[in-house]
Amino acid sequence: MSSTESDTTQSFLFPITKKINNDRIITETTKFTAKKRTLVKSILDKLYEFYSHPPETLDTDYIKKQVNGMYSDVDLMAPEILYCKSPNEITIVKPKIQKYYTDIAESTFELKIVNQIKFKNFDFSQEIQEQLDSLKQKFVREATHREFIIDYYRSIFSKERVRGHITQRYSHPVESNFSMHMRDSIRQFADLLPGSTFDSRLYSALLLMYLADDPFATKIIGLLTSGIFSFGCYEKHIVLLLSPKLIQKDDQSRLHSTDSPAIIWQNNTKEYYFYGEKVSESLWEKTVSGKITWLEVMSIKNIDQRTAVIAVIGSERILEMADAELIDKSKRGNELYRIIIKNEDARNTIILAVKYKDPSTDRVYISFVPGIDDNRDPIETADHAMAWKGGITRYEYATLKIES
Amino acid sequence: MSTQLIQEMSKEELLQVDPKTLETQLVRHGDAWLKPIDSIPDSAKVLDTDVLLQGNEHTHTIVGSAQILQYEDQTFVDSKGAWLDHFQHGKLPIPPGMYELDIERELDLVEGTKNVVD
Repeated sequence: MSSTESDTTQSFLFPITKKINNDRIITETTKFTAKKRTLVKSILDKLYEFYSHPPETLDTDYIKKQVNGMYSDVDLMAPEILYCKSPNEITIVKPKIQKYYTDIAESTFELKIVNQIKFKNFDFSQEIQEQLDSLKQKFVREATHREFIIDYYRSIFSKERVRGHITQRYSHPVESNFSMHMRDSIRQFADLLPGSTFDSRLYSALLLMYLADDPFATKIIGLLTSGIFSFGCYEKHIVLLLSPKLIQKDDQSRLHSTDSPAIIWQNNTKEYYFYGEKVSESLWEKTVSGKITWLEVMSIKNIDQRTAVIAVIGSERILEMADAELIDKSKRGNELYRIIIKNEDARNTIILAVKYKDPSTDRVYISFVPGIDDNRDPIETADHAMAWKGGITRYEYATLKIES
Repeated sequence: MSTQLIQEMSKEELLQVDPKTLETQLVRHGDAWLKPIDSIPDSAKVLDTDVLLQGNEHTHTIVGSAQILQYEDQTFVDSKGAWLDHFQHGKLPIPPGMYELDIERELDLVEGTKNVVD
């Protein structure tokens, strides 16, 4: 065949144009039509509404119908439904699953929930459209949409695959499977969408691509919009985590509260967050009560948690509490401080701390740095301290331009 | 494109450039630092992944023409002109060249020098 032919597949939300040119099949994606753009926007609005106001009552018959339908779609028997009122209730359902999956380690049963509600001020922008187009092109290269996704779901629910995944260290079979095998493009795209966990955000992404005629995706979304926060699929069981009673967020939609827990689950389990970073109840209480010391703040191992606590207290306040002396400020905005710790034995310890702002997130970080660098040269400037943090010389740091 | 020219560019302008046109240079992407090096060990193995660094929540991912390699506990990038991407830190170009990955470090008053944990 030497002529050029075109065929547009209209059954998908995003039409694919197939061209046959000199015996080569070329697939191209097309932009959204105005009608489809409106449809996608309405779906997203529905999801955002749900995640803002989860239903108060649980329609278990409806949920069962969605679950059974999902399993039936991939040729599996209806699973036993195990409800959890909070992530830690997995310990209650664990014995039932463990009995079936006898060959797995106990630690793999922890239902790890990424308690981060994603609420972007979603604007159906050119960027999203381009991402979707790009994703679709990728899928087209690998298989058709439908073949790809059906194979994908089948692989998730196959006995061998499920067994394989739950015997790994990953605690959440579905999520780990997606995380491991989805390319980062779709992961990042999913991160732009609403959802309580990575899986649900991913399902939102899949829904965007398959809603038009994919019954499987609509069953998943049906589940997620009927009071189910997250779920973990096993061959003969499905663990459903109920939506929390309370979710508190900041103005950037990160889990956050300085007045109360950021999440209260259905069994009254509480979780505490500062600006999207989970903290322990004791750290939360010490922070909001003002009883935490600057040294305790600086001793928080996880730098993002430390930064979140610093954000609550204020970086200036932390440095003031430490009697920190500013010894250098660079053009890049980095600041170097000297802090004297008075020990009980009257011997003072002098330490250095560098304060810097992440150029992409504007978060203010404070890190301790040593008094000398790897070449035993004294660190006397803020940029020298930053260079040490990056494992480079101060001269190399001075050339740094590509930074975020 | 010379480093001098790059230094005169705004971040927005930098995002518009073709990474292939840039000179090899230092790249900082949050806690991931890519340091230019002269060569990558011959026995370094190419990894079948686009994830350069995995954080607790998000990943530093390479998009475009580049390979991630590993030799013992060192990670390298062989870029022909690519992008580094992250949900929080956004996109940055990786000019063509060979790089070693360094994870940002800090001083812990008890444990001493350690890589930052996020």
